Amino acid sequence: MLVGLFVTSQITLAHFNISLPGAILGIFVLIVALVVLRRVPNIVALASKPLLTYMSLFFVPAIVAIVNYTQLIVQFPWALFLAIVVSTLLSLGLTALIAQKLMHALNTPNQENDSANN
Amino acid sequence: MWIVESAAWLVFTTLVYLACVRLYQFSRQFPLFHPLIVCTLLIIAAMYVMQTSIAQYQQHTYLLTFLLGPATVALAVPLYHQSRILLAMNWRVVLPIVIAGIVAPCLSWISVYWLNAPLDLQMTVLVKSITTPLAMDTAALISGIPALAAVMVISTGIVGAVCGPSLFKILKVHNHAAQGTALGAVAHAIGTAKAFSISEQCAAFATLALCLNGIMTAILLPLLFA
Repeated sequence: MLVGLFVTSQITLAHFNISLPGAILGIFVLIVALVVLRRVPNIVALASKPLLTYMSLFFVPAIVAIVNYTQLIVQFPWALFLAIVVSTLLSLGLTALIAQKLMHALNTPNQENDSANN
Repeated sequence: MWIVESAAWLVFTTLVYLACVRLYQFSRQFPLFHPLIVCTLLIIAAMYVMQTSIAQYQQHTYLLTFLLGPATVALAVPLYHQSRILLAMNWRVVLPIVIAGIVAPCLSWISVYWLNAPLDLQMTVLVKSITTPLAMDTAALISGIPALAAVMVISTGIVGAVCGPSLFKILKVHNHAAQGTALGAVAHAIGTAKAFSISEQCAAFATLALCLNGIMTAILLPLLFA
């Protein structure tokens, strides 16, 4: 029974995936459905949990193909280092600083609202 | 015979992956032991031993690749769980995510462009900060290289997860919500996994940032470049 529900919802989800904008459309449809329902139906929860937990397993066949591109990596090691390590650290730091500034400003009035509501 | 071989590769891949997850937990989530790194290396070694080509392996394990679609769609569920926080914070949480979504790909594009890397590599680095399934789809749409995108996305995530906490300390970012937003927006799912080990609040914001930036980038890039 559970397996049946799991497979049907998977097929439904996959069905969205086939249409052109791909998974994005599926996310939209599902989130709209959840907002309308105002809860996560059991079928969706049951199907999504193992999919999300083991998501990285599904990447393995794709990543294995990296051996086809070793030449490209050897050819541009510095470009890749800058692109992956340096730019990631810069954007991570910048985002954290901006987020802290904005959220800090929010924290105080938010708490006041909460106490006013209570 | 072909079916037996497919089944064998599917079962083997799954078992190796599960063992790698165990190892990762056993190592207290040491980022270099990320299941994807260890598992990929082991599978490549196994393919080499069995004299199986990558194309053959990918055909055998197509079921796994296929499941990536539904799994991505399932991201809507955690996003829905975060919708209350999102509505309460509205632009204060969206703005940093949008900035991250623009700054991170621009910086990496500048670095590869500056060093004269070919166009497909330039296109591929643009997707490095979004979660792998979206990144691979998007890379294919903007004529990047999906397999390379997957590897870059994962390396980006590992860099973010390894260096994030010390970076936050240096920059004096103590707000867990802000840390989560940065980790999720820049280091996607691997950063989000790190955020889970910091605090629940940190994880909630990371999930939100992961979903929002992934969706935003996956919609914008094909519109700009496809």
